[in-house]
Amino acid sequence: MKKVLALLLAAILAFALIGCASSPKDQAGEEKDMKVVALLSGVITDNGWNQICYESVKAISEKYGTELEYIENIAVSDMSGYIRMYGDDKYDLVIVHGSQFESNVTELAATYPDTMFCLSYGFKVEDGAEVNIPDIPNLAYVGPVNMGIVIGGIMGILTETDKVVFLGGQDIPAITDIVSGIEEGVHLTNPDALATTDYLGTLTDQDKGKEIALSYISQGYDVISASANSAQIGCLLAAEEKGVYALGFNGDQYSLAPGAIVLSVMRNYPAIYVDVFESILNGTWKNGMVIYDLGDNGTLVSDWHGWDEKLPKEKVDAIEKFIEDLYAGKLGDY
Amino acid sequence: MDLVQMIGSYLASDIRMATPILLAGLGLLLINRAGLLNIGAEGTMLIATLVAVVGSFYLGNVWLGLLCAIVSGALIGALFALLTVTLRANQTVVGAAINVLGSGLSATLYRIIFGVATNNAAIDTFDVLAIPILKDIPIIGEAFFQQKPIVYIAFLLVPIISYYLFRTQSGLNLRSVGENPKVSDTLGINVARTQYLAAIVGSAIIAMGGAFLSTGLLNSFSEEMVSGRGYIALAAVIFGRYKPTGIMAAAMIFMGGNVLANILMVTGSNIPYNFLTMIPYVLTVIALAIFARSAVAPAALGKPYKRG
Repeated sequence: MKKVLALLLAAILAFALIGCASSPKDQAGEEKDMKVVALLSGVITDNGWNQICYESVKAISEKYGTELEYIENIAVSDMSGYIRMYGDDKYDLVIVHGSQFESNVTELAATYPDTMFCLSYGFKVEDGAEVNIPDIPNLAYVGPVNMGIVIGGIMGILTETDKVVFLGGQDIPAITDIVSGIEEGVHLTNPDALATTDYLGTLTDQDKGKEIALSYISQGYDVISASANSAQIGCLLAAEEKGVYALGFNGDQYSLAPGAIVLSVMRNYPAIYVDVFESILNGTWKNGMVIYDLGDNGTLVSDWHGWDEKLPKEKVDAIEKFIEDLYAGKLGDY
Repeated sequence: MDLVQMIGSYLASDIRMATPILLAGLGLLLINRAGLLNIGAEGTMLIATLVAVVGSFYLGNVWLGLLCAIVSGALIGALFALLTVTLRANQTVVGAAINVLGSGLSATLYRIIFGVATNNAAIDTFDVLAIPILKDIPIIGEAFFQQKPIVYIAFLLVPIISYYLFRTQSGLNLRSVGENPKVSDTLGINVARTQYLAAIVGSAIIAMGGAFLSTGLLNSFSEEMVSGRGYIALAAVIFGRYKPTGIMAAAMIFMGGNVLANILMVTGSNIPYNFLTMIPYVLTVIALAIFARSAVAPAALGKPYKRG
């Protein structure tokens, strides 16, 4: 009896592991079917970086009927194994989501010439010009740029106290490339404002994000935005609780804090990866740096969700004009 | 903002943040005092964060959500006791398994129930319950009397559990089981039943900590949202010398470190965030070095008891 019970419990415990990985499908499909996989550093429900990549492969699968395939929680030390596995399986497109995996993919891409590799890359706004991008025919560095400028500019217009803050989760490339543009963006629209940026030190701890944001608000900061996956939700809740403005980031986050989130700035990886996938279909694949500027729809700004009625008219006009001018390239080379 | 008001709001933030760790620590204390070593608080809390959100979402009332979370904790406690007391499995291994279970199960169930979406379902959450008159006292008014109900419950549990453990017959029985189960058994105390009850009630209290995190401090579930609080609670029990008041002090010192880190960050000290993140841990180590005396752990902690 005890043995049966122990076995049963072991089975229940094993169930917990099912959530951790979705195993790749075997190779039964037809030869002509395109095969795409996303290799992720975290989970697809992180409200941020990895979720946006999941949305991307989902968009491709909805548009072109490919299998929706992804692997979560891959450590840098394990990435090479996955690249080899999908290279051996002759996948058409392998999305390696995060620049921490750069050395894995540059080392192995040339071994699998039939597979196109995309490295999701944070191109820094400041002094990031000369990153050494190797010329490998089947490897592209893909990413949007200048999101921080958009966020900063809108924050600069919204603030009444001339104090705005942007909180990153951790000092990692996918986040620093946004943080580095904030100050420049704020000063485009509001040269007198104090633009503060700092890091929360967590990507999962919502409550920590909330408490830090509350501390900033008590210091007179009246516009808050953050890029910290789930932890950034805490910052948005703090803004809602204290009645200051916030900007959503990554997806349209309006419904998380409708009383605070004026606009969301969205990293448009789904459109970018659909675009890359189509370039493989059309034979227009481009390797090396594949940068999506503001004008290329790499970054989107959400709907007002009624905030254009709630905000003073001059602010709405100023924000709309700023976005229009910025995207048209009138404010500089963004 | 004047100084008095600022100190009041920092103290309030300390107490708020300390509450989940305090609850988890108190639950662990009951379990440890009965001689069971449970390192599974993180997993128990993770499951409770999700169950509280799901309960509040479907039943429309945050108190019912809390009740569901408490039941989920009790079930995990019963599972823990079944494996460690009846089947005498290694307690550390079972605790670790509960952490893995909590992490995987909460993520999987969340995706099954709510799907993978960027927007969270709106749920009922706890509101601040200000206590009239007392709330207007400077400094401590905001900190102690303008909090959410679970904060009051957590801090009231400190004297209650203290009284139970050190002033009642049943508490004495529980402690004696943790110190020497064989002697307790010969004196007619039902060791297995005591340990089962301690594991069930203790895990239910731990689950309250998780529920407060997702439906009190915040309003949704996200994967791994407990972010190590379950492990901090383990440390708080040892640091608090296996006493409820000690655990309360430990939780507040640790979160006081977090508040200090926040103050340093927002006042523009230019200290890299990596160092700020360290402050609570460094503070805890220093406090431990100052206050540490002889070991006080229950003598039979972690040792499976076999009758006869």
